[in-house]
Amino acid sequence: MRLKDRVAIVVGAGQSPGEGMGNGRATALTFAREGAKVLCVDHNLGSAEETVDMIKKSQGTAVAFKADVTKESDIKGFVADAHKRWGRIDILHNNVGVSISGGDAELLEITEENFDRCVAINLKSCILACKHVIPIMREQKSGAIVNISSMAVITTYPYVAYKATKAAMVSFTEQLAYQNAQYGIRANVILPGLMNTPMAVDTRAREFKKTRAQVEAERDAQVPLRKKMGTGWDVANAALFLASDEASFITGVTLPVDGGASVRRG
Amino acid sequence: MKRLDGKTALITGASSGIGRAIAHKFAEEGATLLLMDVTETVREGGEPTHEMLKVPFFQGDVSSEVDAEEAVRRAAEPTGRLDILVNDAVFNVGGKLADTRLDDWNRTMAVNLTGVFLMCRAAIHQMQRQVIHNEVRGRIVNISSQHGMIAAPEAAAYGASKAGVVYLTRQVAVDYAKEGIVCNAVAPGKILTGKTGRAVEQRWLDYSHARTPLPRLGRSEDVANAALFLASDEATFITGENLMVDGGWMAG
Repeated sequence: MRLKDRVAIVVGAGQSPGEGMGNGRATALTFAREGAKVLCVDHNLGSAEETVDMIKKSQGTAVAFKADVTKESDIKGFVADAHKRWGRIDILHNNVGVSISGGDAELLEITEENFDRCVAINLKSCILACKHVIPIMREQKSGAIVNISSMAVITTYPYVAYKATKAAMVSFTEQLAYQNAQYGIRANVILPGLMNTPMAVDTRAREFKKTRAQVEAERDAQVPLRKKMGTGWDVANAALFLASDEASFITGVTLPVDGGASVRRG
Repeated sequence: MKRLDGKTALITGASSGIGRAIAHKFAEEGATLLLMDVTETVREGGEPTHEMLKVPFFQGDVSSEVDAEEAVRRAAEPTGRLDILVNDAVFNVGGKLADTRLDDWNRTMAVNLTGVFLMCRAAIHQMQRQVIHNEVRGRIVNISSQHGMIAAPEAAAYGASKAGVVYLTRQVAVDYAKEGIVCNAVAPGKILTGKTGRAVEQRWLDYSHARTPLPRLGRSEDVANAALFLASDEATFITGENLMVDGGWMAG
């Protein structure tokens, strides 16, 4: 097992309504399968509990934790809970993020309120989770942080808040990696491309009044590799690699998991 | 279930250093291997890699069209497939541009860039004849370098050749994505391979330590782990990427 006895926090371990497997749930299941104890944090406790039930069915160890990641007190709460419960924190996986489901829009349409909400959910949550986990990891002289940004950082994307916050995560991760390398802490960022997840596909089907199959077909067609979107497992596998000791000399990198979309031009 | 069970892999530059570590890792994970190198002598010393692993060896030069074709033919012989090509063979003499002799420049380009071209071409021809397995028809992992993205101090030809490898990686990825051929690169930072000479001159070690944020320099195994990830079924939605294994060097 590649994460035997590690303690992991997966922020955003539940998922949006819809079909299939989200990135956060797939990652929590993968970490647990590889032997980690996982604190499954989500604003939707029921969804986090579903993830935990799936882990327990496979004899894994996990606990669900309800948190509003836009509040620092809630973030302190889940970090303290994992630390108290299991004595250390080896892995922090920041997976929360919203775009259209947070009211993101094109520049001339975005409201101040929705912009602030997207920034709080996508960027502030990641930075404050790191703020509270880093002292513990420094004390341990080890730790791995995996942030989930988006391919939208590299390729064109219609809405402003998502693009800007996800780009900021990349810069922040580099700073985090550089400033904490001396403590043996690693930080890397994954850029998922077009994924066949409930948040990406079902949210758009609802928002744009299309069928799931229509949204799937439109997105599949844009992916160079096999003309098919990726899955939550693709992100989970990349996160597992980056969180494990196999990547112990890898820090500060940006890893697209996007079926070649970001290297295609035109 | 091992992570490369049922896979056939060809590794160039497999006798020493990073190539040797990749061969070791892939063998551990169940791959059927053919190792290729111009020599079986291990630079850092020890039993020849192919003897240690009890796998076939093809003595050949990646810059030779004939050898590249022959290596792929032999690699695919036992199973009828070539699932993974790892291009690790490399040549480096060092030197600032104005001090670089034309034959050194040519040899560096021939091994580091033309070699990758020839090996990829031969491998793609083979891969195009095989069926898709677990969503992928075949995989190529090129060992590039952080040099080529940032300047390689006093190694003009090497840096230029490695920049070319990163480019070729993207080109192959995009041109063959539809056919299910995946191509990625791993960019090592300062890796202590056991190689002597210029690689471990004190001034280069000092430079590397100063530039590497993590408290240690790299090991061949660090690169082998990254190559394994990209060669395995865990990475089926990643293509065209250049994954840095550099202890945070590029994040600084």
